[in-house]
Amino acid sequence: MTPLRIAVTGMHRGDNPQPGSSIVSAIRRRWPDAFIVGLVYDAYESGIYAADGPDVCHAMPYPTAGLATYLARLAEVRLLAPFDLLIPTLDAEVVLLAGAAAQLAELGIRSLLPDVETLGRCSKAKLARLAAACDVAVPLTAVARDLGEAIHHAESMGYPVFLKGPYYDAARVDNSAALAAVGAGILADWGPPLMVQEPVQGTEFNVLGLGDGLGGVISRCAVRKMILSDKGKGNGSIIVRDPRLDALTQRLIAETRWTGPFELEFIRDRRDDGYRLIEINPRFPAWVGFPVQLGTNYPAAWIDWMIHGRCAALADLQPGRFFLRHHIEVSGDIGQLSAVLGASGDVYQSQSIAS
Amino acid sequence: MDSKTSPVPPSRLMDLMLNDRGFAFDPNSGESYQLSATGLACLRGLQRGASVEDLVTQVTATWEIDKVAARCDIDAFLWDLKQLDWL
Repeated sequence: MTPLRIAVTGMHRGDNPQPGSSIVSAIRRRWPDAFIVGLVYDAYESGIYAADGPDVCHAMPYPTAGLATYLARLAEVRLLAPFDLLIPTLDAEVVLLAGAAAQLAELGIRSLLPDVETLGRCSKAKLARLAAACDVAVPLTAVARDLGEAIHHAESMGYPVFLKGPYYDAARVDNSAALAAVGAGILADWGPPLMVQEPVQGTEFNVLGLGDGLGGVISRCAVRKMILSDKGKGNGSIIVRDPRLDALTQRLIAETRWTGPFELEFIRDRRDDGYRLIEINPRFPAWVGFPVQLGTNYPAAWIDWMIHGRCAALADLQPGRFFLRHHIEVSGDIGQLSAVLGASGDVYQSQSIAS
Repeated sequence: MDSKTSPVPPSRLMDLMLNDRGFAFDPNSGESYQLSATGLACLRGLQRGASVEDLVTQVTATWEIDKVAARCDIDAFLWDLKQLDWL
């Protein structure tokens, strides 16, 4: 049987971790002989150097370079390190590749993603409309094309407000000067629109799951964030089981007929104990390695689904199990670094260098 | 609370995960709590469907406390549980 050959993006761990490194570990648990290609933007993505990291890493252009450039580079990489499946793990990549299934297939690459229309409905700018269709509450949110409009919305709403970019970055701002400074940074990094959102006081809950593309949830795992980083990332979370959260998840996934991995972010509002949907992430979250350690391997299930159109039933996870994010050092040498930074093939072959 | 009847325990109460050291985890909210020995005895009693009178009897039989004080403390405890939506 031919070993699994798969490319995965998002190898950065550390303060603001990406999911790719955990997905690579999850693949190795199920398919120890898999050939895994890491697609990276930076030689300092720490997952490159992890002991169970990718077999090979290649540098990629940022998604902002455009689809044609991205696909051309994928074709080059595939010649150097053949792979058949691709799991993009970052929002901007998913948005870029969602409508490119045919072009990917021409390159011999399979990747199963939500369609462009569905992603559009789940974008931060349109989330309120989708939520209304599913009878799901969201915080009061206004969409602004520029800083002036954002300040206008914030003044109508009353400070403090949260300011968010289209993909990443969210900050609480207390006045127009702070909004202008934060907003300029977000616009420079990610472009418009800006979302101005009322702050909701409460506890954050996340739901990780897989959608079957027909409106069903293959499996899901809900957690409550216990420890937040200064960027609001969950540095520790505990599994919960709330039928209300399950019902909200079912309604959102049924309405969107979601395909593939998702993460729903909610806040349980202190004022009325109701959930407010904050965000839908069209990918595995950075904490995907946690359920894998408990025996529920979401990435492996999704790969089965991509290959066979089905997967074995996933074990339900028991409330009370928790994770704490644990940072460790990974080591490399200058030869590895220069291989990724180098102009030639920007290749790092972990096994050959380690031997 | 009606002290005569033994109501069917609500599901959130039944879902609570308790250990012998009085640690309680609510799988619905993800919150955890540390209970006193009396609190733990009362919660376990409620999970079994005990009435308030049953709890008073159990507490006065186990700890040195008169019935009136026990009833007062148990009522306060039940009020706290209601605030948590456990009752």
